Amino acid sequence: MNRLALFLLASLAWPQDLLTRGAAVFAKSCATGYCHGLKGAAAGAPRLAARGFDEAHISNVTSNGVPGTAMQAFASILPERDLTAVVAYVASLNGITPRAGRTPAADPPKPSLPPEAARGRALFFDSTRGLARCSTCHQVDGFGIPVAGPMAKIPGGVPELRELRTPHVRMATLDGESFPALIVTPGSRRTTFYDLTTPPPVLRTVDSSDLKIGEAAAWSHAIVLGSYREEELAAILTFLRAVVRP
Amino acid sequence: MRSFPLLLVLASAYAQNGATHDDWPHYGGTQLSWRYSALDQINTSNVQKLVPVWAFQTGDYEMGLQATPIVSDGVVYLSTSHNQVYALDAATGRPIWQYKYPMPTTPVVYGPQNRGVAIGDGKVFEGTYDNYLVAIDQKTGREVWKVNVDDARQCGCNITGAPLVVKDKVIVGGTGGDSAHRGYLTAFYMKTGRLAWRFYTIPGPGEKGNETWKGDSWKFGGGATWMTGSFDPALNLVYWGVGNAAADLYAGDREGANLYANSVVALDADSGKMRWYYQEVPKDVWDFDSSYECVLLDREVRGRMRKLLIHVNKGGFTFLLDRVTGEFLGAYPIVENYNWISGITEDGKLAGRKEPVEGKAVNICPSAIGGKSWNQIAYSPRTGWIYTPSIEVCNDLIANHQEAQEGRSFIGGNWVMGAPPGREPYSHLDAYDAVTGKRQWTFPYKYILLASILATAGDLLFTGDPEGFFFALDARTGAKLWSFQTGSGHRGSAVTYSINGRQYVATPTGWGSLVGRGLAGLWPEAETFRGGSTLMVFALPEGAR
Repeated sequence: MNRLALFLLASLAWPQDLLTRGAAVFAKSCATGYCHGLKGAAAGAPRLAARGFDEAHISNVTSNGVPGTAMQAFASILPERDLTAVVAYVASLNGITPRAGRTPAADPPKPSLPPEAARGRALFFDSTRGLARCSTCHQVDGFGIPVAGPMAKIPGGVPELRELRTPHVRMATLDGESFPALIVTPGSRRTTFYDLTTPPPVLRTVDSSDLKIGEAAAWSHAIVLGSYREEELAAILTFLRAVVRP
Repeated sequence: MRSFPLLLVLASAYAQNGATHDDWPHYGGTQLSWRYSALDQINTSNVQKLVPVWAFQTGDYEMGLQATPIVSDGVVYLSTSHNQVYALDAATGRPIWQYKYPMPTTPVVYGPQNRGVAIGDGKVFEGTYDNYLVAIDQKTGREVWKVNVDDARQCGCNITGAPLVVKDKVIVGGTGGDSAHRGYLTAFYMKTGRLAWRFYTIPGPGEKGNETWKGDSWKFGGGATWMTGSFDPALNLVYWGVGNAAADLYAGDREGANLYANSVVALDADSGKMRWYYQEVPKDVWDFDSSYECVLLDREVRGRMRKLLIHVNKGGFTFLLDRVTGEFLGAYPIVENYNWISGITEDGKLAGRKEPVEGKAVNICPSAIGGKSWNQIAYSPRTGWIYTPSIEVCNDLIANHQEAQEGRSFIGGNWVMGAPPGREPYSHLDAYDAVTGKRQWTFPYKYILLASILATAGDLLFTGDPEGFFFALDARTGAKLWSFQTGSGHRGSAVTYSINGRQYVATPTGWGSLVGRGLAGLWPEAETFRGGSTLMVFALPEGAR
């Protein structure tokens, strides 16, 4: 379709195939469950039809979500073509006609990990291992719990990973019991630390006078890697080398 | 006629007493979850004189105020949707401390909602919108410990229910039943926050019950534990309702009974090991969770004294179980419109299942919001009756095949809410004999009742409606005796307590929640129902007692 033809069509209404696609995406991703209801008629989430929204608002909320509510940022969930289509569909529910000269963008190429790194990624975040997975303590690639700080250096191999100690882990004594602790905020009155006795780490705050912080603990990664086999750990290291920029 | 059941009830009261007294220590009142108070200063003869004595506005309006306030030693502990916790002087409303939880900077799975805190070991425990469990010093409001239960961004789950304190542990469930997620309960030691045990509601490979899931479907099969359980100290058993199987409406990829989704499970309080389960809805395709409260009471059933567990399923049926063994003892409907089954057989089987069809709308009653929502029933030992808020809404279910994507919405179709055959949607609050299921009276209501029921020894029931009225009914007749306009609708749970001989009734008010907002799809005027977030407290005037 040439530019003029597109302009003429667009100045009348949204392209029908765009709206059809948008309606399908809406039905699957927006109308379901406790969300916006069929045709945006309202369900658990606000009504979207005939609200007087403008297109920029619809596009912004759809793409970026609404912090603090259940409205997700669909720019990171939907392919761009679907995002454009669903914005057009919601705009049509608000009686908005399209701006001229727009055309749905093609999907951008997805950056993909090499197979071994992708396998390592799945293992790093593997929920079937429950709390015995790397992401219980590490945040990488926007997921996981940042108990440990950003990784400074990826171990060269599995034996080094097993032996890897964290210099910040100390033996702490509290209520007559000693355990490995990662000190977060030492203070003269109160101290905050992660109790590493058993996963998941517990962020505890106690009166500094009750806590004795001792020598570096004999804690090493070997203690928490029990759910992974040797070659699985190798795949995880491959993943980390691919995504971590120390 | 009246004295006979009363005697039985008195006998049972000695066996297990689930009544609260001056305090309201647990989510369900006591760990037996009766939502019943032995206080009777406010009663059927004087409730008309009730006046507001203080109000506390939290300022946190999003999704309304859904909590059950916890009351201990003259202090109210109240949580808001964004996990702000307040300690308030229960006689005056004066703030004692506030625990400020960081406000979210990113979207929140299922939206921010919180149904209450638990107290124990000198701490206040709260589950958070971003999936942490926090322990707060009960005296100072300072955080003592904080532990992540799961990565909310990955699991599509978080915590909205109140934790349950059991012995030296605090147990917490989570949402995620409409996401590609595998549910669990987690217990932490109150003192240190360290993990005590975790129980997965869906057995993993090699575990008994895993064979009831086709292929890998167990990995994302739902079974969320999003409400609060109960505890029987004598049996040392924790009881918890488990949510729907996922994908909610499409079971083609999970052929089998799908244990222990849609079940009540009984766990050893110390180890978290399962002692028994009872699955109410095998292979659920209606989103009929078994997540709701487990009410523990002792009553005679067919001539034999039994330790009972009363449990309302989202499908609108009340199940009667023996809580020692999990044996099925009976079931009765609490909705007037149901067609997903024709009934439940004497041995607990679902008869005449009407299931959704792929790609085609099938009208099912009740709807996926439930024959009852999560707002809780009450049990009064004085009447022997349970008091249930029932919802008469149907829906067109359309099933669709859906690939599981971890943490993403996993409904497997859609629902469109609508009216029952031949009339407008409606609801009713009823009294049922807890054992026989015989309805004693019914209180009809135009919209749907989404606040919990509070029963008292003054033979009163308290609850609120979406229009903002907080009201009292006569527990024996259902007659409305008193009502007060609080300015916003009710989606929380009222409690009662006593300080220096004066009885107070406290109710959260503040319209919101996913189901609450969905009312606009059924009644357009519901879009004008105003939000809010206030705790309103009532008592008899000084001198009138």
